[in-house]
Amino acid sequence: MDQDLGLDPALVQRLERLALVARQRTAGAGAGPRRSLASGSSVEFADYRTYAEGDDFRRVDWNAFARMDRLFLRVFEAEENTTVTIFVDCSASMAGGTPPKGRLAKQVAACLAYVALANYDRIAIAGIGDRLGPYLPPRSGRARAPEVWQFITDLPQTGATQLDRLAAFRGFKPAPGLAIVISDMLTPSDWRASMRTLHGECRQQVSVLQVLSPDELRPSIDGDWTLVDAETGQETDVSINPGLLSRYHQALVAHTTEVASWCQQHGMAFAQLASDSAIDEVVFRLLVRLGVAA
Amino acid sequence: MNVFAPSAIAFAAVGLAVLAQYFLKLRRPRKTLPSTYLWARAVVDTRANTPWQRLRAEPLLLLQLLAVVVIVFALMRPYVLRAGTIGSNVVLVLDASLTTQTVEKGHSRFDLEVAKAHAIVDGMPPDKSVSVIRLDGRPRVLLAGSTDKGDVDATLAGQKPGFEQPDTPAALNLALALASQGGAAKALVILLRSAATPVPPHNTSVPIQDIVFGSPASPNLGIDSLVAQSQPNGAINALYRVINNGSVKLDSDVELRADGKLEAVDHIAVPAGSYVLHSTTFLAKGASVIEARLSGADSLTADNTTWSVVNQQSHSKILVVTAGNVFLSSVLSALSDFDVATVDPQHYSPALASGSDLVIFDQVVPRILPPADLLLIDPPGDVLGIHTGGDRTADALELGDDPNGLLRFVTLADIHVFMARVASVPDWAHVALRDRTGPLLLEGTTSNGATGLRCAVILFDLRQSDLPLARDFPILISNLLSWLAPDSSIDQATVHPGDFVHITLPADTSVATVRAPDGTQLTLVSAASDQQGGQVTFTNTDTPGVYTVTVVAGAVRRQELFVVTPQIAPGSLSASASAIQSGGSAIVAKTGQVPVELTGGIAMAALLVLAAEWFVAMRLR
Repeated sequence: MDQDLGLDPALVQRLERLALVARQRTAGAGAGPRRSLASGSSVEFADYRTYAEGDDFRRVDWNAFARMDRLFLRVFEAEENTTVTIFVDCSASMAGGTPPKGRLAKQVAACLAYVALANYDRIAIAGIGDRLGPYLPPRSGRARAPEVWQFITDLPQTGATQLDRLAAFRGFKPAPGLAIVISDMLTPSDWRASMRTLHGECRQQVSVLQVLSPDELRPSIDGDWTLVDAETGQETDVSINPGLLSRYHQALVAHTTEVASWCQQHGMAFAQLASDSAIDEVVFRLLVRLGVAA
Repeated sequence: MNVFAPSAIAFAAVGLAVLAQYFLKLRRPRKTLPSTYLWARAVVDTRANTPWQRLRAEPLLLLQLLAVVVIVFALMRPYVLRAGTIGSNVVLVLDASLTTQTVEKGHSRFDLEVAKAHAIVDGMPPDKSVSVIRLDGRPRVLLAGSTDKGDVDATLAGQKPGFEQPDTPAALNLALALASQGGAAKALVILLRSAATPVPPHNTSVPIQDIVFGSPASPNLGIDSLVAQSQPNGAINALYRVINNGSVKLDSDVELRADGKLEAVDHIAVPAGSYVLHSTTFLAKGASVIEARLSGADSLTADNTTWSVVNQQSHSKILVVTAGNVFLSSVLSALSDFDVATVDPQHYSPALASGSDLVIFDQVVPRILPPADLLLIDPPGDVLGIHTGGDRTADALELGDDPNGLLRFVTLADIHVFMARVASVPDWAHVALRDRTGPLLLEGTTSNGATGLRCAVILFDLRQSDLPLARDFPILISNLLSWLAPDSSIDQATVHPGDFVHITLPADTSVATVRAPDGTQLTLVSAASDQQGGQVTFTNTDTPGVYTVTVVAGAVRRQELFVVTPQIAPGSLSASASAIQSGGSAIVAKTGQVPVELTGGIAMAALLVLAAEWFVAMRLR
């Protein structure tokens, strides 16, 4: 199993018992166990759509291909799979923390991707830093898991967190599906507008997973420091004392509450993860409890 | 409350440094975090990039500033005056200047000072060390560190007030030096002074107890600055100044006497705190001493009389040894203040020079020089350590080292020397005039077998220059003679008490005496003295009046006079105690009170503040 992500075979085997939860009906691109807005193959024909890599070849309309010289997929109103897009924060801040926040973020992304693949869903991966990308187009089938994991492993961790770049996802003309954003959410950029775009224009069921390091949740430094932001280089002079630590905690709570409340108001799931959490604990307890997975 | 060390307030500048620590941002270690987003939200106030920040009234800042204030206060060494016993080392400064003779309510200020000093000494424990300093024009230690009260009382009883102006700074320096020997903390200086004696500001750690006697409002008229000049017709012009140091307008008759005979009386009215200059003329042909005296009685009588010397007769004798020098003869004959005799070198003998104040050798050097001041012109041989050689041509003249002003008012550009004599410069001589090659005029004081004989040497023949034709030639000769043969043996005809008088004696002086106004006589030179001629310094000018100097030189007996007059500056009698108050840093204590230093308690308070600051700092962390 993948050594960089630290996923052991027992964990992967347990992941096969999970499925990602769609709180609303979605239109998938292939047959699957999920009730789709589109008709399934077992019922009656609903529509054609353009073939995408990873689609089931059995549903390609070869007659249409012969006439149009293009691949079209027959869509039925029936049980359908769905496209799960995982946005992984690739900014420099994810490389920080003890352990690094980016490691847990990639582990969670890899687990959720495997869950999707094991349940016949299509999985797409997108890095998000100071731009949207790199992007792995939708893949389906358990056999694509190594490719997906490798892509996740190779995601860089540089630049600033610009969550407003998520809005560029509309350019991919995505099918309705699930969108999972894994980020520390520590950015002054306008993440709300981009989330609204994902949710509305892109018709994604959005879940937000905020990953913070223990140092950010419970700072243990003391004294006079010039704090340098790893992403922007911005310096902040602080004299850390109990008073300032209290104000920091208030700021952390306020920020978390702000994000969580906003997500709740817009029908999005939100979870805060500590980077020192065990991956199986996160997947099988926290995410299940929050309804991201079942 | 007062302080011993007010200058320590300069340490308050440390408070600015403390404030600066709060204004300026600290130089902090850097730490890179994944994101400072939350920290920036927590410390919004410190996000500005300016090197200073808004000052906030933090407890630490307030405590640190309080600590600075308390520590600076402790460094200033505050004290309070309390009744108690004085230290173990006491220095009594006894004012004996002129104004202590002021009599008020039947007692002079000096008598009151002495009585107070006796009382202080009598009230002291037996182990106390006492020093006594006399404060007048020349403060001096009368008694140093005595524990014997009998010695102290005897010393005090032997003092009388003088006529000098006080030199208070010198007396206080002397007292503080004595006091510091036993440790400043245990010392006390007690200044017993007239109200007219000013006290300058004094920075010292030794406490000074200032006891003032007299009233600034005491009525007093004083007379000084008498200048009298005789006219050819026998008239005397007298100009004098009358000073009113009291607080009300006063008037008085001024009697003018010539050699003790009353010649004129003026009536003078002087406004309070002011003075009047008055001039009068009267006939007193041949008088030598003019006396001006206030006839009215006031609180200070010592300044009611002054004197001036007129018709001082003193002609110096000059012997010129020359084969003939028309230029020199002409200019000497024009100077009427000298008795000039001329002799050919072939007829010269040392006996001829006896009694001469100055001997001029023109192009001749005798085998034995006379014990008199000398002017040597173009000496043809070695003399007085000067090694002479042949002639040399001279070029442009340059002014050299002329301490006696021989070339004063002489324009060198108008003088040209063609030939000069090659000569060395002895140790005693200054080169007053020179060209680029060598000396042209030497001056200095040499022994020549006696002490203090003045000598000038012109190292060229006057006829080898245009000097005798120059308009400044008489000036040069006058300068030379004024220095070599002054017309009076006394440098000042009028001095103040305590001043020195320099008396120049002829080389063959056998007897020189000075008779003081009280009739006492001091012998300066006698037959048994080593010194026969030269300059002597007379220092016993303590008593105002007329002093007579008698000099017997050879067969000649001469008498000259000088006078010692009290000096009173306008307003000096009422100088009062305000001087010490305005001093600020001087320590003022009333009788029976001693300063108690509070530094210890304040240092304890500083420690408490620092402990509180440390406690708060730990709590904030």
